[in-house]
Amino acid sequence: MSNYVLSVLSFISVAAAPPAPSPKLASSPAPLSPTPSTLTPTISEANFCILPRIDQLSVLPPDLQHILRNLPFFRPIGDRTAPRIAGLDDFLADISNVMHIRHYSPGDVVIQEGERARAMFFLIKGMLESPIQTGCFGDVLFSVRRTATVTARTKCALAVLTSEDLSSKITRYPQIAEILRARANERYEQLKKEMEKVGRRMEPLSGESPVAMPATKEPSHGCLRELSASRAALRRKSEEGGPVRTTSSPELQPAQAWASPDDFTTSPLGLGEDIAPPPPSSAAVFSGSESVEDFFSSPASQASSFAARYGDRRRASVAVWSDDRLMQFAQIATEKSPDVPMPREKHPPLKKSSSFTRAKTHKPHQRVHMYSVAESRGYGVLGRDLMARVFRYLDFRHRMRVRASSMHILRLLLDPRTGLTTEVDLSPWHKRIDDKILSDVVCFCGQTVRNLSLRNCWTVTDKGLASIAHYAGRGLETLCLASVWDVTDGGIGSMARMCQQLRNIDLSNCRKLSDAGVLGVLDACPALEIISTSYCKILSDGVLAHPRWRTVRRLNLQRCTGIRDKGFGAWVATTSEASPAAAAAAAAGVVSEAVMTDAFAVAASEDAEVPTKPSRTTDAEWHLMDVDGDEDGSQDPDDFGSTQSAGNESVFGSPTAIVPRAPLKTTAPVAAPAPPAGFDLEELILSDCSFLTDVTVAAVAASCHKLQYLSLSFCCALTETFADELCRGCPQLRALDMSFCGTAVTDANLLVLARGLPRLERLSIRGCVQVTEQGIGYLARYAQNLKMLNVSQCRSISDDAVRSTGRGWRLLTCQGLVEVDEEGFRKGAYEYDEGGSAGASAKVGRKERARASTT
Amino acid sequence: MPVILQASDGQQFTISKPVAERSMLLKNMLDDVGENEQAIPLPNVSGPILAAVIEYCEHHKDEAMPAADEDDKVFEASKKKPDDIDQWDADFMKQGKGNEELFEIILAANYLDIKPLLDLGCKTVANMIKGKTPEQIREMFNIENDFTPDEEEQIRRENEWAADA
Repeated sequence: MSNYVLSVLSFISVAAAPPAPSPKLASSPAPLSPTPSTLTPTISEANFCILPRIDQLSVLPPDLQHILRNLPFFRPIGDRTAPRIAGLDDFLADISNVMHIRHYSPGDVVIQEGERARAMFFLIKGMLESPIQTGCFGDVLFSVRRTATVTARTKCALAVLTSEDLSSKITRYPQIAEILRARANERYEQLKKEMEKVGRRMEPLSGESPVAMPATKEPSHGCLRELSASRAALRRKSEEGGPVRTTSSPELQPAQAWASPDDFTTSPLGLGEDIAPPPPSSAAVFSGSESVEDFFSSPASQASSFAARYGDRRRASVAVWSDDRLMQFAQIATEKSPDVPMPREKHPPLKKSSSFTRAKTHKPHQRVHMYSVAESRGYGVLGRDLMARVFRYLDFRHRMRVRASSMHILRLLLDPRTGLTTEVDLSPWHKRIDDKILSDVVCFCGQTVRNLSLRNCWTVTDKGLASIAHYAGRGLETLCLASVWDVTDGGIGSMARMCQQLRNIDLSNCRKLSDAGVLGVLDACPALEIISTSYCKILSDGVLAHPRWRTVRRLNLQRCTGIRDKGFGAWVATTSEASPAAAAAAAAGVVSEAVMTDAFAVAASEDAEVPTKPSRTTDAEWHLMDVDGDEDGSQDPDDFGSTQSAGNESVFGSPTAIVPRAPLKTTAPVAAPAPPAGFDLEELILSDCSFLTDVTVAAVAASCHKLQYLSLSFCCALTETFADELCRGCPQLRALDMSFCGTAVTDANLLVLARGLPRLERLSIRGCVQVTEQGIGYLARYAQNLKMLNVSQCRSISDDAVRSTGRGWRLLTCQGLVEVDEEGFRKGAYEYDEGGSAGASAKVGRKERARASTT
Repeated sequence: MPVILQASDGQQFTISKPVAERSMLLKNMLDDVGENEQAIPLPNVSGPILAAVIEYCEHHKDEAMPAADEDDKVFEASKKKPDDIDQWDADFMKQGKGNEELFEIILAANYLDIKPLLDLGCKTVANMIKGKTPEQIREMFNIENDFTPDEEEQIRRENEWAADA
């Protein structure tokens, strides 16, 4: 089999060294096995196979599974008639789901010698070549360093399987893992023999299985970032005192660029020798099933309409998994380099045409520390740290511009400690940012980027998302795609799988986004805490049925008009599932029946699928807890009755608001169940979701007990019932926006809210025309923590009436409550979000500033 | 009790303690050594530059000092409005100061640990960088161009979107 691999791979090598096909391969019955002739590296000939048109990073089609299955690779060693390997089909289906396509243009570097192998490549289309004449190419070994550089000879499409994906999948297929390991061993022995033939030594394989994959990787391609790293390696060598042959293009002569003896290879490289194959790289970490990398050619015999449809018009993105250690070198060198003069050939030293020279000569006092510091001139007179400080005041565009001044500066920008490329906000130049530019930017910044904003970058498509996934990948924590409206479910889902550290994603106004896209993100990103899908109108109820919602802390569903009450029923179900004990405790039934509200009756009748029983049980539980709370504040009723009799009557006149409490009192002695496993949600924006009714409020109240910020503005279908539900389920509320919920907000309801939400600090009842000054009186009396109030456009309420309460409320007249600035209002809960530059962190809701006055 | 500072060229300045304490370096030093009639030598700062720094400290001597550990917070606040420079400060940075003086003030502020002046200087320099070509930036800071022509070309290509307009 290794021979097969060998021959498949060697077609990539230069024409002078076609490998002899092995007898085993020749006799192989594999129907799609390429014959040696197809592997002969004739430049005009390309290997094609038929694949449906697929986009970069999209899920690979079943055809690929078929192709994979026919690789001799997956046949047991030495027994071609053996039955199929158990689980092979499942395995192939599994891996083809996580594979993606990369495109290369002629000359692009696919694999860089000396890099740590991170991926397995399957050649779908095109030809590759190795510039170094060698009988073999591409290491099957697990996580060894690449022993040759491979470049694209023609336009190529490669299906890529990363070692992480492979190792995550293969654990379920021990038999296949065993086969792969055996293949790798064979391959290793083969390689070793070849090396011995030419007098090289192969490092022994380590029997252990250290985790081959570092937690973070630095994907890179032959772009500026890599230039930076390779230059750093060169510099490092120069520090070690060896003569340096600076190459004008490190990419093209990697063997030299990587020649730092103690870092990449154990034997000195024969630089520039054409006859000798390169030595194997050292550090052959044999990591069991951790990773496998190799090149496979897909069968060549199939004719191709694929190329016509797929290949030619795509610009390849150069893509090579590079060694993460390069970045370390870059950093080490960055630290050391001030003392090291740069080797120079290309540019004569900058003429000191400025006054610096003269100043130095003629003004003795300026000699001090300004010029005496042995600072590398790569940073200029201010030196490294101060330059970094200056750059902090530049926006991202200007930071990109200054990188053109020197390699030192360029690398300074990439140093994560300076934070100069951790926040990338491209929104100010949104009209210019297309997929290509985005690709360049994320390639340059790599995994240094933590927060990326593409707000309003309309021309960016799924292709751009693929670049983000590829280059920024796991480093990314915050991503704003607001109004990047051409992205699709597939693009977002695929990207999310590569960006598993995402904590904050803004998908506002991504018009093509449907449930599948959001669910894909939820599936892939366990750390997700903040999501905005506002104005994604084709989202439907199904999007809320995902267990991950439980751990989301902020959610903006403004104007997601496709989501109805039924969707939120899923949250109640999720809560109940997560808290079976609580459900059981409430299953006694009496309580449940007692608290069965109108709202849930509506839910039950409206749609049989709404899980009414779980919702009732959870709801009941909260009634119990609420009773406890009432007892704490038992001094209230007297006070309440004597001073506010009118309000009292009106409240009790409302049948749904208070009545259910009566039977509850009787059940209060029942042992209180453990607190339910509710949602972590702290902020929920449901503005403009005009179809939502009290059922939704009840569902939210039954599941989101930590809720602090809730906007229901323009939820015009709400009725008075909502207030009682809300008070019971969400006693932590600090801000509540009820603007233009005219039917739902009455004086009586304000009394319920004022008494039931002890922590309420902000309330908007803008445009709620039913409210009178009596309602304001309730707020003044009971809402002890209320600090901000919006009663604009309430006809019956005069400023005088508000002022006469003497509460000193800050009166707002704008839309939005949470967004209004006030030091520390939301800060404590979302510290990490505060450092982001404007736009990089997903801003929830409107950006209007408060035009506020204090009474 | 006045404080005497001696610049690298021997020039001496007598200033009040509150002014001197705008510099965290001097403040810590004064805290450690106590009252002292001897001139404090500042071998890293020339006379003209020290004069300018003292002018700045005089003007700001009554303002609250940012706590040392609040540096980043203060920076975050100032970053939000990079163009918002106090008028006096803007004039102070402009008046008859070429690039060299400006850079020397930054270096002095860094050495003397006067955060607001350091930030002001960096902000001013950042504003000067805007709109400059790479070659102009190199000249301004006396940066050595250590790119190969190929690299330079690649960067130029990738920077097209960031070019002026």
